[in-house]
Formats: sequence, structure tokens, C-alpha cells
Amino acid sequence: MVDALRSARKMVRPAGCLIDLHPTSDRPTIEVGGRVVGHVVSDDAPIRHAGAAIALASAVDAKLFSIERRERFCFYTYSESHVELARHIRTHWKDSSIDAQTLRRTRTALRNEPGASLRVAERVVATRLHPLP
Amino acid sequence: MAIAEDPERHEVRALAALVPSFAGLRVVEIGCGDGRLTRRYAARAASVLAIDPNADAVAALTGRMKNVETRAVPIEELSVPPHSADVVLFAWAL
Repeated sequence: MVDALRSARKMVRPAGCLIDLHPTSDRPTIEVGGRVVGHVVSDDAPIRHAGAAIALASAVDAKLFSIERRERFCFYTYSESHVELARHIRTHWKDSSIDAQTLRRTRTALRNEPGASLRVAERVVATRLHPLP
Repeated sequence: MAIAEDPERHEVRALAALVPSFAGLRVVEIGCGDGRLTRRYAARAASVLAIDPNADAVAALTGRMKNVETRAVPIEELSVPPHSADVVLFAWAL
């Protein structure tokens, strides 16, 4: 990952910037009506996302970049169906799924609260970095 | 409704806080996927070179915007002139 940042530093002009967006290592939450009913399961993603943060910190320590600004936000993915949401995560997310127990809780919550929103929430950090000479 | 990703536009607002205007900028986007984020900022950029190793995903973006060039390559195989980009954007790619 640091190698990728080194490559990026060569591409960007001295007055330019590098922008990184990556999820935090917090487990994404499955939410019905804004209440957490479970988490997305992934063995690899928390390690991968923590690695991204470490790579950025290493690039700053190596004086490749300095951090100019940082923003945090929630990225929500909505679905009307727990089945559809599970399929989306399985096919579009890397090595991730919703386990059977969370799916059952989600289905029950949706039945108990018709019309409630169903979403998965990912915490994301966005950073602007300035290339150092 | 199928899947709706970030309808609140939290992601593009965070990006706008970091880069208030893409007008006239030359952007290299690493990990563009199918262009979900690219489509949200690229219209005003001078040019965008969007890359992703997933050729199927990149195909969904190819040819959609006249100022966006796509390549199905990882960053390790990307060759661009030094200091040619105003912004290098890692889109959930590190």
C-alpha cells in the first residue's frame, strides 16, 4: 500500500493533492429504522481497512505527504429487502456477507416495523494529503 | 427500489470539503470500479484517468463521459508522466 502511495506521489504535481477515501476498521452495521440489528461479516475487511490507515500514517512518517484535512462520514446503502441486501453485499463487497442469524433478526425487525428503512452503514474516512518535496 | 448507495450524498459532500472544485483539474482515480464516485465529480474536471484492475467493472464506465479515460490496470501497471496530475484520488482502493 505504501508503494501505491509512492507511485501516486510521482504522478501528482507539487501543488496538487492526494485524496484517500477508505472505510474504517469498524464493522459495517445492518440497521432497520435506524436501529442496529447486526453487522456485516468479513474476516479480511477490518484488517484491510486498518492496513490502509497504517499505510497513510507510514507515508506521512516517511515524509512523502502531509495531512491537510480529514473528514469522516457514514456511507449508507439502502435496500427494501434483506434478501436483496444480502445478495448485494455477497456479490459487490470483497469477502463479506450477512450471516443467517443477522438475516433472521433483520427479517423480524422489518416485519415488526413495516415501512422502516433497511440499510447498511459503513464508516468512512476521507483525507487530503499534500505531497512533500 | 433496488439498491440505493449513499442517497444522502455524504461521500460527495466529504469529497467537496477536501476538493471544493474539480473545475479544470487533471485527476487520476485509483480504484474507480464501475464509476460510482467518478460520475459524481468528473463532469467539471479537465480530464479523469480512471483505473481499476476489475475489467468488468471498468467497462461500465468506459465511454460514458467524454473527459474520462478508463484503463483496466492496477496502479502498479499504470504509466503516466511524472507530476501530471492535480489530484490523485484513491477511491476505497488502499
